[in-house]
Amino acid sequence: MIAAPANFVTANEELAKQPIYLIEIEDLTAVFVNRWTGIADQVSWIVSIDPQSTTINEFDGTADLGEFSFTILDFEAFITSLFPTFTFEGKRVTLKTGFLGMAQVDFATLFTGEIDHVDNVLRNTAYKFFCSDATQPLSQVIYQTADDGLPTSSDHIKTLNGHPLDMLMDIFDAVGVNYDAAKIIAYRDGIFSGTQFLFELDSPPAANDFIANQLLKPLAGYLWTNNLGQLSVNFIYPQSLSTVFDITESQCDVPEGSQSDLVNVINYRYDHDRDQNKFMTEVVQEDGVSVAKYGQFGQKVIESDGMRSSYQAFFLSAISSAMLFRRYGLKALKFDKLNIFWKAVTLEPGDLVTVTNSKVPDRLLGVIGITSKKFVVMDRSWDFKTGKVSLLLLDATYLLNFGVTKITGNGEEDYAAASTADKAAYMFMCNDSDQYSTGAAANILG
Amino acid sequence: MTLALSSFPGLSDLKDASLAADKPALGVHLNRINQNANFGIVRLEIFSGTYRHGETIPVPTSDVDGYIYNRKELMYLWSAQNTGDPNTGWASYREPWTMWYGVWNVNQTTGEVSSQIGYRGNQDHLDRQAQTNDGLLQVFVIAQRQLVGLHLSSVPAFNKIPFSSFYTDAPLKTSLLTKMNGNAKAAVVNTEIIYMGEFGHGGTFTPPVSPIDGYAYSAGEVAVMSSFRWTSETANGGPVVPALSKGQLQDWASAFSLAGSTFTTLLTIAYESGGRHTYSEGKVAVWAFCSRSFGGVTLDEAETNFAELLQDVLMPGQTLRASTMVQLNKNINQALLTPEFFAGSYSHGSIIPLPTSAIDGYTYARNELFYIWDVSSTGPSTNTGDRMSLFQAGITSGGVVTVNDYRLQDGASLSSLAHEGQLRVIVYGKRTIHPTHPPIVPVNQPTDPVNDINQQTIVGAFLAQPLNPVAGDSMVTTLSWPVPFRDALYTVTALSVVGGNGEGIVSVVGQTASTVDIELDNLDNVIADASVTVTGGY
Repeated sequence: MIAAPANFVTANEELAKQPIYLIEIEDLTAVFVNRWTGIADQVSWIVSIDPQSTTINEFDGTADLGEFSFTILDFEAFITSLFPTFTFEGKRVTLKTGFLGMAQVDFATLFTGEIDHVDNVLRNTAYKFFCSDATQPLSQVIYQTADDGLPTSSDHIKTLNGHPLDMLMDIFDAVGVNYDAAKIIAYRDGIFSGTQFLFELDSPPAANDFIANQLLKPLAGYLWTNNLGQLSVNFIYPQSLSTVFDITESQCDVPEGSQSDLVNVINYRYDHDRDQNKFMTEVVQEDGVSVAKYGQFGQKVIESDGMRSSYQAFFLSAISSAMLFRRYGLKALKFDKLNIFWKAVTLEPGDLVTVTNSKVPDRLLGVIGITSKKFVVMDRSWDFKTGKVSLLLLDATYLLNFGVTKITGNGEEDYAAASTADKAAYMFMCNDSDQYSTGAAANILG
Repeated sequence: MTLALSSFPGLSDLKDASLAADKPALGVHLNRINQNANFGIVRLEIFSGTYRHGETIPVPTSDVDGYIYNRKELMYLWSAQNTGDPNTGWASYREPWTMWYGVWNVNQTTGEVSSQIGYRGNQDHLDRQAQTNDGLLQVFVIAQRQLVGLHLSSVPAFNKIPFSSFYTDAPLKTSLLTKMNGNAKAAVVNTEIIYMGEFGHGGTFTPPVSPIDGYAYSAGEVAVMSSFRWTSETANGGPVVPALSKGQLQDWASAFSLAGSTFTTLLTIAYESGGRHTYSEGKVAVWAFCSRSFGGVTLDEAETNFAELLQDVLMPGQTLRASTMVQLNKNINQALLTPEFFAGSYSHGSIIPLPTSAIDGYTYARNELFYIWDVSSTGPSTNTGDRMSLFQAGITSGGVVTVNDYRLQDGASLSSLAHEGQLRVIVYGKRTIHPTHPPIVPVNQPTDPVNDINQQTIVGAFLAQPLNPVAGDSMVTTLSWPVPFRDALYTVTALSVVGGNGEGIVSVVGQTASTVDIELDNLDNVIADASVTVTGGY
């Protein structure tokens, strides 16, 4: 979820509010807003902001952040007058949102990008700015120098041996992009602690292709650009199981449910042998429950040059497949387009939310109506004109079966003697009936 | 029951920081520890077979989990199980020729086997020199998964965890988890086999440093195993044919002395040439069999109850049973003891004793053992004038040691068998895993005596003769004798014809070791006898 100042969060809780959109352009004193605010340097010359979408391609390891474009009135030829001495292209653009009367410092940042080009529109009375996200540098070719200092080729190999998320950050540093280091490191040292890939590159790859196909797809993750213009990652195994937003019936249109794509067979190919140019190991992970239920096969193939049997590739394929099957193996409930009020503007791809709606069928229970059902946010669109947010949500009920208990300190009491709070918060060993000595049901692993 | 795994395990350098207090209790992390324990069982495996010159060692498949090794993960040790011709079971050049030198190798990149055995005559027959590809090598395939590239960021320690730590209601403490994490990693790197290089006499080396985590082994943690590369002289880094003046090969030996932390290679090649003469030459390839002591840790019970914990048991959403943790701890402990190395030297007829682990007191069963060996010595010969015709050695699955020296003594026509010398042996113990032992291929020693004959004239009587010969007739008749000659050239240098006019023209048209076919042309009378000169051969 986009981090927003407390005053914004409070104000955003109000049902009746007037959103302010604020666009800052690097090195430009003037700040453009969509309505008069009375604040110095804020000029209400925004004519329109086109809808902006983020589309997740989970199985490709990528996300498409749609082009961000907006139109600014060329009031008294102000913008025109800048061109001789000001180059817009490449300048950082920031889109923020707040509410009427809110101090600019309390605005929430929604988008950060760079101006790509500027067109005249509306009979030359305005300029339309087209902006791109931070992924442009990822088209660069990387690892051009082999281990021996010569250009990477079949005779001069570039070896990479380490954590794939360290490689990811190294690439970001190499191509010079801003990224969400804290989040990536948290994944590296958390769920993916101990993961290791080994590559032997005989040609320099393009950064974006390498990141998507070799680093993130095998981990069941994808690359996306966050609101600060940082490259970030999401994985099917969420860092936090907490929901950040409750979508109630009064906040949205009645969404029509559909089914998620069926994926119940994944072929993992790894142990790439450079000399033979082939994968030496292929593991077929299959969701037996799904196949038995539907008699259908939804197959995906993941080929990884870096996964090695000797680095627990089989286990990694098993855990990634298990997560993907839980999300896609049982044709879970999906909302392709859930339209919700602007209150949800801070939701991001990967966020967990609950949905309560009495008019949505619950196919699992065979009843009409769902209550506090857990979903994960995938695609997201902002419509600045109507002040609505559109979300693609996927059922994430399976996460209810993930434990949230923690490792204890060394002074922790046995379960029976532990405090009530600790009993709930920490992991204790149980008997073979999955109970503690008190008869209480055992906690479960995350 | 033979230990088996349902999937290929691997190594994970799971960080202790992820197991700190108040970090999430994740099944993924417990599974990583579990996988490390499984990996400790299979990371180092040894396979063996017998191969001859020109053959290529196939890449092995693990009996435990079905993993097919990449050739980059393999190293090869070898020892001549038999120096003779694998096709006949005896030396290609038999007595009075005897061994001159041996050159052996298994290409570490391709797995191709090469073996050269040189034979020669004694100092009276310096023209007798032959190079063959005799030799049957027992090859020990050292398979270490991810031989290149496996990495741990720090040296793991092993801290014994009492089984009393696991019980219903026990909190999952950070100290317990971090110990298990370290122990499981230690179980992967507990044993390593590291190639040290090729060394001639006097060559020195120090205990290796682990390429995985940088651990510096002490000399006490290293058992040295070698493979003879060649017994001959060395020039420009390679073998060259020994000087003829040295004589015929009598025996060879290798040893490694230890002073401080430096091992010194000691090679002795003995030749017979009017007496025994020894030379400090030859070359061996050396490997260090490394076992970490972990500060002399001992365990409270014999660890033989490894049972694979399927990953589903520790997946998200599962409870954490104390019994599961007990099994995980057992698996880690057994992985730490897999394999164990026990070094020793054994002579012919010895039965290698069943080793007992110094860590947990477990005494291995015979079928849990495998024997990696090389020649420590093939002598010294106790008979003056002995020359090595053929050397054979091996160890059966029952641990019985064979050291057979077939030597030709002065004046003898057949080699005699001695059992001098010793094998350097590392017993490889792997609990509840049953390795396959290649058989010791039997020797096929000829029983027919040989005569060392040169330029000898044989006079034979031709009893067969054509009836009523007519001038111009020809016949082929066979002259035979009871003692065979090998590799002889038969030439008719003189002919004595009795009872005829002596006009028969004689030529040799065929020969075996004990016969020569002679064609007599233009016969016009009875031929009673002829003489044939044998040149060369023995």
